[in-house]
Amino acid sequence: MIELKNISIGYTSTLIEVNEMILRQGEIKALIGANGMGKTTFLKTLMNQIPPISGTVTIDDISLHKLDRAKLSSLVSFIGHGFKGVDGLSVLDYILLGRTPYLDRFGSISYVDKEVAFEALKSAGIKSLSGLNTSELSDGQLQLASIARALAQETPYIIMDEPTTFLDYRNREIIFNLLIDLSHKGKGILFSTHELDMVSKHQIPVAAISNENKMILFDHCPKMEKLIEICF
Amino acid sequence: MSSAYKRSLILLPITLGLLAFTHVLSGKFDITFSELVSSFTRFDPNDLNHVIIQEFRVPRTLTAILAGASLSLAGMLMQTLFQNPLAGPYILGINSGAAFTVALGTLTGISFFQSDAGLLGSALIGAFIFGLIILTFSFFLRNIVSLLLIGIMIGSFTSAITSILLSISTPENMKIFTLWGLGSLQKVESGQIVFIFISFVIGVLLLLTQLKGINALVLGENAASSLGINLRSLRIAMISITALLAGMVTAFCGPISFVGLAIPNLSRIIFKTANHRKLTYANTILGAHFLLIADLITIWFEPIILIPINAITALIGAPFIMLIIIKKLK
Repeated sequence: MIELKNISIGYTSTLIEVNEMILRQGEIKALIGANGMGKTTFLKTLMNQIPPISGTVTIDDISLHKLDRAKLSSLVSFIGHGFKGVDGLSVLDYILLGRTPYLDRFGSISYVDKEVAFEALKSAGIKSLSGLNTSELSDGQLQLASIARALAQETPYIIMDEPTTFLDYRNREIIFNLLIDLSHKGKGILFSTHELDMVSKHQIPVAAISNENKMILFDHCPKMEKLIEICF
Repeated sequence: MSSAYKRSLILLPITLGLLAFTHVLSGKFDITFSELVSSFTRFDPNDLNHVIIQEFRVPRTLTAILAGASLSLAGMLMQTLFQNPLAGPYILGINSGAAFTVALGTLTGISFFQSDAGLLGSALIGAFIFGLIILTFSFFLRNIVSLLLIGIMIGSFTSAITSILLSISTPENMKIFTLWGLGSLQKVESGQIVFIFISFVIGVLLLLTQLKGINALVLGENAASSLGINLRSLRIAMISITALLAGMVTAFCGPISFVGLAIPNLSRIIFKTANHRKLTYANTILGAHFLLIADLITIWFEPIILIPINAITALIGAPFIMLIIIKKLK
């Protein structure tokens, strides 16, 4: 369980105030907010890249600032946006990089690591892509490969920054269905997004950053008009 | 794909061995294969050819192999650290540091600083000090691009001082400096090889212990960090290894250009991988090949003209790499 209690988030001045927010395993939440309202800052705080101004985040009852980077990487995986692929890096090798937290310092890959990577490829539905070069993938395929990489990381929680930006309708649908499916399989998923229509279509619980810099939670996705009124 | 890699594990060491043999046997004095063998099995200090083999030929061959490998690995590390294929072992100014102290030493006019041992000493000190300066900066600069720019600025600043030093030095001293700057694989004595060898071995061993982090760094700093990599210690390790590998070679051979820039790119193109375990092998073996071939060409031209190694590396290297880029990448 990722738990936030009475936290203010931001770099120097408070961008978001959160009274209480909980993400359990098996839950999915969409983080919604206008540009510049601090979605990415919020996610970075959860990834321990910037400390909260006040209050603490706990993950499975351990406070975030006490977790070292290595331990955190076995609890939470992060998918940023903007990965364009790397020349010479195959999809399988990319997904195997998700095993990094479990490797020795020499980066030796075991049979188990490969098994996990193949499972991840299957779960993300991109088995056929495994031999391709990541720099040759389409945006949709790249996003699926990134999700597979996060799955190979075998963390209870996955955090994603705008996973469907630049994707066409079909690919957005694929990603949303995959994320919901993964949450049913026990992952705790939090992702930022601007796709209000998709969120409301799939009835995904919402964490909305309001115009007044407050985090407002909805266990059931509210009407789009209401979200727009609160956030934009 | 990976069977091509396995084949290269057998094939390339064989071609390297053949090249090394050719290299040892090439030169002004004709040396036969049996003389080469006997110089090892029963060395005769009165046999001129034995002395030539043991004191000149073998050290030069080993220097070419070790320098080529070291510089290529250093270049690979810098290209991955800065995620820029234009980076090379000297991007952080280690060569400018060595050049500065060499210029300072020769300027004094003290004959020790103009001897081979003196040049070596000055270059070592310069490379070491500048390695430390960059390392100090990397401790408190969070942004990797800032570090790159600082490195380039320090390099330019130092080169400017070096050029002032040279402008006030005598023509003889200037000549000594210029010759050092052209790079040479001949000056390394048999007893000194061991230093380059040890720094190479230590560098590679340290590099192997960082492979996990280096591989993750290919995805960018944020992603590597979210995969549990401690960026700061990784960065410090990569810079230290580069300083060791490039610094030692530069001290003994002068600043050898092009190899450390070209071979890491060539390795990625030929081996089609971002896995640094494979790339470490590729850079080591291809770097050694490259410098051996470059030096062989200077040896073949020796009767006609003395070509500095730095001219050859770029002269044969640039068109060759261009050809490969055009063929493979379009």
